[in-house]
Amino acid sequence: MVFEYLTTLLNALGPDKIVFGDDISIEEIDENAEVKVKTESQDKGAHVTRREVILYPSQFPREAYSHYATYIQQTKVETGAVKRIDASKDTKSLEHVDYDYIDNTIDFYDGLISENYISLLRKTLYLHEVKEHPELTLTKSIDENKRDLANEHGYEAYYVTHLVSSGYFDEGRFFRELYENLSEERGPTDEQYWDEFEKIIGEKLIAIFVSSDDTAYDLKTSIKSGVAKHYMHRPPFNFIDVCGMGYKCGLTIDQALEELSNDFDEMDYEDRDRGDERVVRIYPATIGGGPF
Amino acid sequence: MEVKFEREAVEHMLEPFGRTVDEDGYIIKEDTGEYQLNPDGDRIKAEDLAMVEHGSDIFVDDSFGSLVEHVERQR
Repeated sequence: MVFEYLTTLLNALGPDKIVFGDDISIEEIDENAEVKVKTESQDKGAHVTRREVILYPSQFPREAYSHYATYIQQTKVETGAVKRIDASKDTKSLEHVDYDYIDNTIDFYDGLISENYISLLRKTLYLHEVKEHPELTLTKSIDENKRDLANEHGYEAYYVTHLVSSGYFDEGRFFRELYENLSEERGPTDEQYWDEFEKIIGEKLIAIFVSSDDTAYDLKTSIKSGVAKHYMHRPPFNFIDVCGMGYKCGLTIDQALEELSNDFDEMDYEDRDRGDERVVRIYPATIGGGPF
Repeated sequence: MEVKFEREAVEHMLEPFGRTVDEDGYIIKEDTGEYQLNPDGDRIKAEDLAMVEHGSDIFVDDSFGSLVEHVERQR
């Protein structure tokens, strides 16, 4: 039915306003031909081949435009969305993520954390999937997409994105272990989890992510700040992870640790590298003293 | 079957749905002048319009979160 609206439009345009790329008539266009709407044209209203129809509405005479409007309306109602060309490619990529991984992850946290965090977590999982699979491409860069998430969910979207990339929400990893640990204590675990989760994310208590712009001094400052926050907030775990990708970040981490070790004799830490990611687990109680 | 449009042709995708663009570039309804909102209740700039969903009046902008929400709605 929608195809009929398309042929009605093309017939209303008339052959003088149509460029035929193949030696065909309007009636021979494939019913599943791809239809695109563009602006640039040399005065023609449509370019037609068997498999593709390009429409240039700015060249339509007024009487043909009403047929065009009907065709677009009916397409949306009956057969499909009207999508920007790049958005169509993006959604195709997003439709090929590992839904089992995303759904299983969300299922665990659903009800344990707020709807806002569930929404953010879901979106960061999608972004992580795209990042991990080069065959899935997006128009915007990963950084631009992260910025979109931060614009929508606040600056902590960046932190959650880092945590997802480093696997902190995965099976057998920190946020799942946190639930098991809280379950072993008395009290309403789900409410406790909700509160602890919001504090961990809001105050960035579990990990420090090093960027290539960071100096050792910057990192030392961040670590000391992280230790101070542990004393203030008393989270139900006794460590902070320092994480960095790449050779430069690894050097920065090593230099910061060396300098901190000189400042704090009792400082204890251990290597917990994850593949290409340099990870060092620091124990705040061994920096500056204090009960844990 | 989708109809696809290039970014510069967005106004030709608004007119069939009774929408137009105000002086600040936001999509509005032609009859009432009200802003067209995305599912999160935010205004949409015409240059950011990614799609109008199949079988609905949902206008989706091109932010990553909105595209993910669209894909989730279609599942």
